[in-house]
Amino acid sequence: MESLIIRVSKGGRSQPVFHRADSFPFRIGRAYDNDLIIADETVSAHHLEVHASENGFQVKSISDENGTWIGKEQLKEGEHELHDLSVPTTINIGRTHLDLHAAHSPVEPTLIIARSSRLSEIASTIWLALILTVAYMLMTFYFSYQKFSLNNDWTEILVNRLLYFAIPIAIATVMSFISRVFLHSWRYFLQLSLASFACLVFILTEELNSVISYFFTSQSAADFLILIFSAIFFAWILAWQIRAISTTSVKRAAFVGIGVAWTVLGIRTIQDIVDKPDFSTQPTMHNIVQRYDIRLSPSEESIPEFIIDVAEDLEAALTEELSRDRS
Amino acid sequence: MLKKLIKFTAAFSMILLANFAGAQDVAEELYSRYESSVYRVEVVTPGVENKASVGTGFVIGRNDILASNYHVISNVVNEPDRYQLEWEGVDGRRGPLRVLAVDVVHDLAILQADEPMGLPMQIGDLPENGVSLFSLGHPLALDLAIVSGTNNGLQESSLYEKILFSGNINPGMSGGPTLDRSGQVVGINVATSGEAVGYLVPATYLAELLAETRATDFRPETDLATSISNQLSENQQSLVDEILNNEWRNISLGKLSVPGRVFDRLDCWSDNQFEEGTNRYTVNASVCQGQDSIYLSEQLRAGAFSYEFYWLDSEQLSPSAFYQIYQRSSRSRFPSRPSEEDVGNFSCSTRFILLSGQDFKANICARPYLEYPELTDFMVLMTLVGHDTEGVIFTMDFSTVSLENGLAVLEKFLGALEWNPS
Repeated sequence: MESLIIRVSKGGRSQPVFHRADSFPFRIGRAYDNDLIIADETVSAHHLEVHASENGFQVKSISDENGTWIGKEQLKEGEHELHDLSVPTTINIGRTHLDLHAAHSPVEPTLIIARSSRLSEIASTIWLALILTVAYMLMTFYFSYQKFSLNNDWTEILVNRLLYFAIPIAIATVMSFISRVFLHSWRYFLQLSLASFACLVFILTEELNSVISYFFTSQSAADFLILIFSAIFFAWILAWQIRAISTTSVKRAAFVGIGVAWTVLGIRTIQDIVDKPDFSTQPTMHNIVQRYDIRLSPSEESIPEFIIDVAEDLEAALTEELSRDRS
Repeated sequence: MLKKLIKFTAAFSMILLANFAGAQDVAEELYSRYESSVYRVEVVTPGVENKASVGTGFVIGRNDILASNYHVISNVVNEPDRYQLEWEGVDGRRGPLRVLAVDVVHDLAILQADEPMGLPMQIGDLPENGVSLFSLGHPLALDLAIVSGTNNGLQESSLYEKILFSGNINPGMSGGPTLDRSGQVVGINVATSGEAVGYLVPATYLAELLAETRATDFRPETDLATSISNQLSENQQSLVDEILNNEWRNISLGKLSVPGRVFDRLDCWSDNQFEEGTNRYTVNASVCQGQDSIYLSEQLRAGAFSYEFYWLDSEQLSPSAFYQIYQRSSRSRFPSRPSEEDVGNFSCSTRFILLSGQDFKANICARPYLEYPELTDFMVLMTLVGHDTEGVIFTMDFSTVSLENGLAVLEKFLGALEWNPS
């Protein structure tokens, strides 16, 4: 006679328990004289009997209290007869689920633990986490110092920017908690490295923006390049962050990262286009002045040549503007 | 000391009184002579009780012809379907008026009534400075008033010639005549800037406009818009010619030598050793601007011209801190704010240019006038780049100028800039 494997589980995140039924009839219920004792107050003291037959297993309900379901079908009340079972199947008694399997049923293949990447290993070290956090704080302080360039008192700037310094620490702490829940591990330094790196890149993008706009003498060129950069970088860092707090596969994390980052950037871009005023009484000047003259070659134009170039630019623009208004 | 002051005040007020007493007789005589030649000019909307604007007009040249300011009647020219023009006499009689011709540059208009309006006034020459003048009009749309004051001659630093009149001209008196003792019109009331500072349009421009109208036998100008467009074009051309033909003299500003006053009718001032905050950088500024502009409509002014040079340097600030300030200082704003119906959007050309061995970044912007496609609002913002803790910002704003002329003036400015460290 083959044995029957019974997997007992309740709702929620409780671990299932497996039992092997070798001798029949096999009685199930809350009372201590059962073969399988179930700790569930909604299950009757003597609830169910499993019998072995020539061509499989049969089940008989011996209780009329909360009923018994085989699959989705409820056994009729008061009808204490044997029912044929075709395993695998599910029986519900009270709030308890019983999954019945034949002992020879195959099991799921082993889940191979994903090895953390070399980058994650480096990012998880305390040194990188500290270096990135300190780098972020120094950068924030440096930019603030520039902004308040007429203010000599650096302690005032420090106090003023305290909240900004704390941003990566706050993000890392929240992420650590999430990681603790999902992975049963804090991974605090990995979270701190990631948060500090993202914040650092974010404030450097602002600087990058002015450098690019200077290089191309155009704000729209800078906007475009920054958009491309953000689309790649923030999708990547988001995917990495998702991997750092869950066992999600690389593919799925990348999918979610790209999905979220591109949606946000897309909305921002659409907003920029829609918000652009049709008419402004002031020109939108590209007025970013930079100390570093990093243009590829200095202008060799003479004044008349320069004037001709400007005239060409503006004549074309004015004609277009007039034709747009006429139409 | 106090005694002396009282004495002085007494003597001073006596002179004033004496002067006033003399003027009063003339004023009385002029008032009674021309009472019936000066009218209230009203812009009205048919079917609406309130007037859109009110000014003064006076009979000139022929008994059915009135002169006034363009700005009094501009609504009728700009929106003829919505507004109508009417006169109202001191006795309460009313009648319609037609616009025959306008001179927007000098803010004048010639109007025609359907019936004889009274004794035409005569145009005379501007007397010497200090001579008493008498201004007629309806201050604040009240009854006809006569105001005495003195002639101070042509205002030196105004782009468009005006007589400075020390007398209380009030809103509503616009378009009224200012007479000399003999009763000849020497100016037309046009503007005021505070207590007893009034401006008059020299009557010679009225004489010119009147002669043109007379030449066509007082037939109304068929296309006022084209006429205004031509006047604006001619005006900017003559202004630019004057700027370009004038000999420019440079002044030194920081390590640069830049053009000072490029022609006489500009008001220029410099602000040297201007210190900001904790004395960590200095600004030397040279600012020149035209004192006035041309009235086109309530929100639209034409023919304004101004330019500024700001030299900034610092010995204490770090280069990046200096550039933070430098960047913020270069926010140029165009002075006039017309609406979307008047002008198109600004378009800009951003380039670098090497001037006198130094790199400059230039933003040159222009927007077209929809009504006058030849004319643009022209705006320049240029900054010196490549130096750690020094820089110069050059801005130039020129309204209603052709692109070609704006660029010609810019070209001369660029040629005049010199790097002059010493």
